Amino acid sequence: MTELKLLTNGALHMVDREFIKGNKELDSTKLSKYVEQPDFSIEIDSLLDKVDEVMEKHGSSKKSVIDKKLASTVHKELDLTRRQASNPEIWNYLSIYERPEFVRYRWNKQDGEKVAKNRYIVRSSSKQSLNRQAFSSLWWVAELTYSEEVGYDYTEKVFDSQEFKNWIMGPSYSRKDEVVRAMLRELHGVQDEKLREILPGLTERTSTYSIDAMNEKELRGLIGGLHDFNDKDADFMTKIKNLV
Amino acid sequence: MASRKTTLRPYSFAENCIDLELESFKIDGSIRKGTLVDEGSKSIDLTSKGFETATLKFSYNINEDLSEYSPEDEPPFEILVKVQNITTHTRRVILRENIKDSGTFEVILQRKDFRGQIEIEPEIVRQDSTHQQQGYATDTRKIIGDGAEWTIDIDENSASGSGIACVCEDFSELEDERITADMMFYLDISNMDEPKILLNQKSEKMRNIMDNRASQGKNARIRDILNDVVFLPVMYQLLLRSLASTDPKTGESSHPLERSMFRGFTRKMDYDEEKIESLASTLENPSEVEELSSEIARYLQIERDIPEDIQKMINRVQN
Repeated sequence: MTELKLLTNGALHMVDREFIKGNKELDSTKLSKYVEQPDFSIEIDSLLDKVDEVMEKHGSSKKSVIDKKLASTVHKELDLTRRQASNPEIWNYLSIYERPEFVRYRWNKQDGEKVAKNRYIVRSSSKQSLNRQAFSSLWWVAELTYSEEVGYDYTEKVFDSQEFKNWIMGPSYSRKDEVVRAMLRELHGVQDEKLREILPGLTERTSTYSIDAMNEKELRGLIGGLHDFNDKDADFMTKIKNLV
Repeated sequence: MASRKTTLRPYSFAENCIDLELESFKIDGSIRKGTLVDEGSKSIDLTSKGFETATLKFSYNINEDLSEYSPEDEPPFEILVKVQNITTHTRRVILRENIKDSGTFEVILQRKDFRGQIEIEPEIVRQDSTHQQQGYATDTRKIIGDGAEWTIDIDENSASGSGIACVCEDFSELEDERITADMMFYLDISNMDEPKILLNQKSEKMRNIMDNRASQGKNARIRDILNDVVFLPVMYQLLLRSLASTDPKTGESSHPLERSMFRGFTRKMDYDEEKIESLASTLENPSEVEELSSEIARYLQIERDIPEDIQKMINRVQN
């Protein structure tokens, strides 16, 4: 039985260029010195089997297909609280100790460029760091989009757009569940280039309108209004009122 | 230098119209005696409380006549208080009710849901729209006023930006002309959302000491001093940047770390509003920068307990 463990920061200096390229394995005896038991217990055999299965079956599938396939799996298999999931040491354990081959597989670049170090390592509990690492990013996207109503439907939508993926752990208003759901309902399918035009307008609106006081329908009006009008001066609140 | 962030509103806004005060607190269901907050402070330190559930009872008081901020005699306003935690990407409304002069509410915090620093922010919001009138916010859900934010620290190193990641690298391998093999450390602020201290890993002995987690013993004492040697100039650099980049009126900055450092410094040094607002001109005046530098040096020594670290080291060497 394999349990989830912590890989403490002392091990991070061992992650060098050759390891990232897949040209060498890390010395497991040295690495083990930095492995510690967390104050909770989660078995990860099933997770590791499913990760291996995806690597075997999906071969060179599109990266978004792999993410969609694995995000809900990682989230379901790792029953973590948000506090536990913001500890970098559990993610570093998975990517450096248990499955570095998955990081190379998922983030391998066709042009021979090496995989970025931050796909292996979560340096701190910052949202940027957690949103980049191979395993933590999958768990957090699923955590922030899962709902009892629709399960992981929204999770899959996030992986259709790199802009959504970056946005979801970005601005402070994306911390509100209803905003995430409204965003995905209104703007899923919109091209990334168009999203880049729309999102600054939304950030601007949230400085004078209280998104915390809005229900999901009002939020959809706010977000959809920006998309439909694409005009900062449009009276989008009229549209909200018509919706309510 | 990072740009200052200020919200410009084309309508009259009741800034700081809500006062929040902590009335009482319970840790895991038991009422605790004593205080969590220093006089005048809006920071609560729960780092040493080892709680599973903390219940904080707050009172609020509206300190202005809000009818001045609406064309109606009885404006349809509500008060809303939200809790946010950056690390766990959490944002929740914990109070929402029709406006009245004062009231109370409880904040129930479960440790499993949060990490680092929790923020509590109140605001006044319009519940309904009215005919447009220049100078007033008349749309539904417009924010009409706000109050000073409270912060709750539940983990060490979440305040004052001291939780900066340290990363060991071989400096002779790095392709950056600013970092040379004879340096011991380098502050990487290429991404201010995630600054890092790079430590030259050429010395394995030094790395082993820095990784040491012991609280007692020779290596623990050397580690503390080494940390101070690295952190002092780094924190000085970051703090100066934070003071220069944070809007003194709103305490807002583009980066949470800058905001947190700005807040930590001005509170610890008992800066009043006037002194905070004069920071911008101080930074532009060489004769005043000298005094500010001395204050930063004093603040950092207190923050990092440097005199204590040195004393412990001396005791260890002499015994």
